[in-house]
Amino acid sequence: MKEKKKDKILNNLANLILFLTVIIMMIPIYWMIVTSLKSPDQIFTYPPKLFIFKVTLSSFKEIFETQKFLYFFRNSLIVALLTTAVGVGFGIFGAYGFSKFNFKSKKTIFILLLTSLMFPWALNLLTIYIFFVRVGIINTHFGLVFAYQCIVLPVSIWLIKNYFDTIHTDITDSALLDGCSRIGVLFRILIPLSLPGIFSTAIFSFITGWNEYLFALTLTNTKFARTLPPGLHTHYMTFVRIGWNGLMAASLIATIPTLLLFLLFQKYFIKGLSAGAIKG
Amino acid sequence: MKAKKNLLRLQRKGVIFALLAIFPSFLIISVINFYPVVNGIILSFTNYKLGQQTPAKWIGISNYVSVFSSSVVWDSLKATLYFSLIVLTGVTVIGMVLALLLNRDFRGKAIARTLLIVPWTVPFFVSALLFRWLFDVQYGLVNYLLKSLFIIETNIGWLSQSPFFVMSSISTAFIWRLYPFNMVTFLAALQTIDPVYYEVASIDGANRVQKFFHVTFPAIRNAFFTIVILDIVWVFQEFTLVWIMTEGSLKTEVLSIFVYRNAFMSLTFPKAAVGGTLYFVLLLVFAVIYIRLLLRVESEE
Repeated sequence: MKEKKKDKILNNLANLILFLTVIIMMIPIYWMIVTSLKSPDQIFTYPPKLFIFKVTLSSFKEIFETQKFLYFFRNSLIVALLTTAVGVGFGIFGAYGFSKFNFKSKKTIFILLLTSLMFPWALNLLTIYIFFVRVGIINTHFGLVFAYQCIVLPVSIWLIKNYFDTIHTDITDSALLDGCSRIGVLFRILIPLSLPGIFSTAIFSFITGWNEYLFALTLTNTKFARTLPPGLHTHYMTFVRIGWNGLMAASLIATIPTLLLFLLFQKYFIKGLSAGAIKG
Repeated sequence: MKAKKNLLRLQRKGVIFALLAIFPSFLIISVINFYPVVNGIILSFTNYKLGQQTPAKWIGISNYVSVFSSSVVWDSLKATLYFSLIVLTGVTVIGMVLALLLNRDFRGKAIARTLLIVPWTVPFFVSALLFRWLFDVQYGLVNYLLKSLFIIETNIGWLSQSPFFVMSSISTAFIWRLYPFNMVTFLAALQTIDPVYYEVASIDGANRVQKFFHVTFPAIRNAFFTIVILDIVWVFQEFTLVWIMTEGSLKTEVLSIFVYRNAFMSLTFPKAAVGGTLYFVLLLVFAVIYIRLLLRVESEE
């Protein structure tokens, strides 16, 4: 009896801790939203207004009327979508090769591929920059998409391979004996059965392309190529006096695509973004 | 018999197909991963200058000598290790505690879990900007809340006052952004544990703490270390958050900023390459541990 009572108290305590943690962790998000809905003169007041009674969308209006922001947004969207298409496209074929065929030193090549995930970005970037300047793909969407494959492609191959591995070779072999082509096996059996994995991979790729800052900062510097992360930061921090309402509105807009992906496809989002920690 | 012969022929043809399927990816990864790493290491031994026409000359270890004889790189290493240690401890402890708290049955569990994951969806550059605003010395919410709760008396210059406060601020921002990963992956690992073990432990009279160290932790050990290694690799290389919040001021010039500054502000690529090579060596150790852990998990299955 005493045990049970103790259990109940502990359970309630656990709930309380969890509740408080949720509140604390949500404060930054709340503050981002509230700030973005304030007018400039409501920002620089002390004490800060914790709740807003006069909501204004002027920050958002201002953002969407800034030509540069629209460019950055468009560039981010293009880069993220192309990163996804390239990463998943090549990833599917790579995964197929590693999963369903046997060839010499397959394991070594695969481990090498995984190890490349651990290469320091900072070291890679130097040569990538020099190389991009030389072949003239600096300041292009293509260049950025290409550079992002250094992380997206190995992850993509690995994640999709995990799914292909769960489909037994008996199934693919009998399909081959029945006259199905190798491409046919891939498109009619493996891909349809691995759609959840491919979708998780796509989410991971999109978010990588959407969020990345360092490569975008160094490999692009025109409004025609630069993506949101460095665009927002440099544009607002250096040229304009920091208008926190505008900056938070823009930040909120930059967060919405990833937030939506998470809310709509929680399971796939988590699978994709925890690649490397949870198998399959 | 005929079927077997067919299969053999198919398999031989299959090797060519497989190599063709892998080749594009392998080519891309070579150009964007293997070549840059090799070339980057070579770069650190040359006198390369951006845009020069003549090939760079091999000058041995003199870049290393000049980099390591100045205190800058040592401060960088110190900052990187200090920052990594704080963040790693933070995300591991918070992630584990939240995972354990979520691994029970209670009303509102799904909502709590969803809300706790939300910081994960915030792009790094956004969390950096957001925390810069939260930590603003005059109008920031953090100073205001701490003052309202009588924890501090005067405003703290979180991002300007002293290395201690700056390090605390960027660590807080990073922990906030990273803990959901640990929480979610720890939780996934916890859910694989068979409840029978806990029942047996209860019969043996184990208390909660004993259960954690004798049942829970051993069961998720491999997953735990895999996750921690991934954390290390990320935290170690973090650039975005620190750069946007401090630009490396007040002893927060982590190694990634050292590389960036040397390459793209001072345009001394070989020096930057020394920093990059240092990264490579340090990360290689973790990469080896990581791959071994992965292979172990694989063979256990």
